[in-house]
Amino acid sequence: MTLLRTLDLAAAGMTAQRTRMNVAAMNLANKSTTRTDEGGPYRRRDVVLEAVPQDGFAGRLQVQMDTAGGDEPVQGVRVREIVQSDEAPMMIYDPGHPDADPNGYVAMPNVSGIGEMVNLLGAARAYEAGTTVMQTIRTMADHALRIGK
Amino acid sequence: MKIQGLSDTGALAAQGSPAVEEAGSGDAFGAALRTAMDGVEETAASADAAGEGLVTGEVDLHEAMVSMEKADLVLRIAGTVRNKVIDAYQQLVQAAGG
Amino acid sequence: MSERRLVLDATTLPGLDRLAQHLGYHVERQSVVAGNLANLDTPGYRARDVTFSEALTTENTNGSTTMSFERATETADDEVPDEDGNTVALERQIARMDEVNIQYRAVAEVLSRRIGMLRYAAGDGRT
Repeated sequence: MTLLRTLDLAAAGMTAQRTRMNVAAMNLANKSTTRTDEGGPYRRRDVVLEAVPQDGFAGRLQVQMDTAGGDEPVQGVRVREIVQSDEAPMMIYDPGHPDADPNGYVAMPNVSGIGEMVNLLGAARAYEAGTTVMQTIRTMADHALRIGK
Repeated sequence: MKIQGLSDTGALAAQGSPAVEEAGSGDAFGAALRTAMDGVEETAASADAAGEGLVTGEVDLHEAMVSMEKADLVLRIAGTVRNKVIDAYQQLVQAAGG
Repeated sequence: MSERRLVLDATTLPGLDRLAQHLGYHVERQSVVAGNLANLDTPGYRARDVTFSEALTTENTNGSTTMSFERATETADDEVPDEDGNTVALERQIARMDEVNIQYRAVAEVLSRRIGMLRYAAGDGRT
C-alpha cells in the first residue's frame, strides 16, 4: 500500500473510533433513561468493529520497478454495525420512582458507567494512535520528496 | 493540470545532430549517439508514467521521485556522451585536414 | 563504472533500484503498522508484520550480480491474546512505527547521496 493510501487507512480507523466514542457518550447520557419511544428503558448500544481489507492493493501500475506492492491487502477497520443490547434491564428497587412497577422495582438501562468510560478511553487512545500514524506518514512523505535534492 | 512530460527529449537530443549527420559513414558515432538517446526515451517515458501514476495514486512517492531522478541522470549522461562524440568527430575531421 | 557501460545500460542505474526497493519495503511495513493500530481494539484481530529477506543470487554473464528479495506479510503477535482475542500492543506498534520512519529516512538519504554522485559522474566532472 502506498504512503498516501495509508493516510486513508488511518483516517478511516479514526472515524470508527469516533463512532465508538459517540456511542459511549450516548450510553452514558442515557444511563438513567427509563422511558423511550419504543417503550421501556433505554437499551445500551454496542459498536461492532471488524477488520476489512483496505483498498489500494488492486491494480498497481508497474513502473519499471514495483517497489511498494504488497503481497496481500492491508487490513483497515470499520464499524460493521451498532447493535442494541438484548440484555434484560437492571431491576432497581425504587418505589418512589414514577416508572416503578407494582413491586417497587424500576427497569433501568443496562449501562455501566465504568464500562462505558473504559470504551470511551480505549477509543480515544486508538484515535490518538491514528493521529500519530498520520504525522509519521507526513514525515516520510517529506523525506521522499527530498530524494535527490 | 497536465504534468509536463519528459518525452520531448527527442527535440533536445536533436541539438548537435547536424554535426553527427555530417559524419557520413561515421556509423560508430551515430550508433553510440542513438544508443544513448534510446535510453533517454525509455527512461523519460518511465518517468512520465510515474508522474501520472502518482496523480492517480497507483505509484508511490519514492518510486516517482527515483524514476524522475533516473530520467534526469540519463539525460545528463546522454548530453555528456553527445558532447564527447561530437568532440571526437571534430578532432577526426581536423586531423584529416578538413 | 565506465561511461560506456552507462550508455549501454542507460535505464538501470546501479544501486538506485535496489535502494528504492528497500524504501518500498518500509512503506509497506508502515502501512501494516497503521492497519494494526486501526485494529487495536478489533475482536479476534492478530497483529501483523512484513518480513524482508535479500539474497545475493545469480552471477550474470557480464559479471554483475543480481540481488533478489522477498517480502511477506505474516502474523506477528505482540502479546498473548486478550479476552477479545486481540494481540496488538500499542507500545510495540508505536515503537515499530518510529523505527521504520528512521530507516526510511536513512535509506532516502543514502539514495540522495548516490544520485548526487551519479550526477557528478554523468556530468563528466563538470557541474
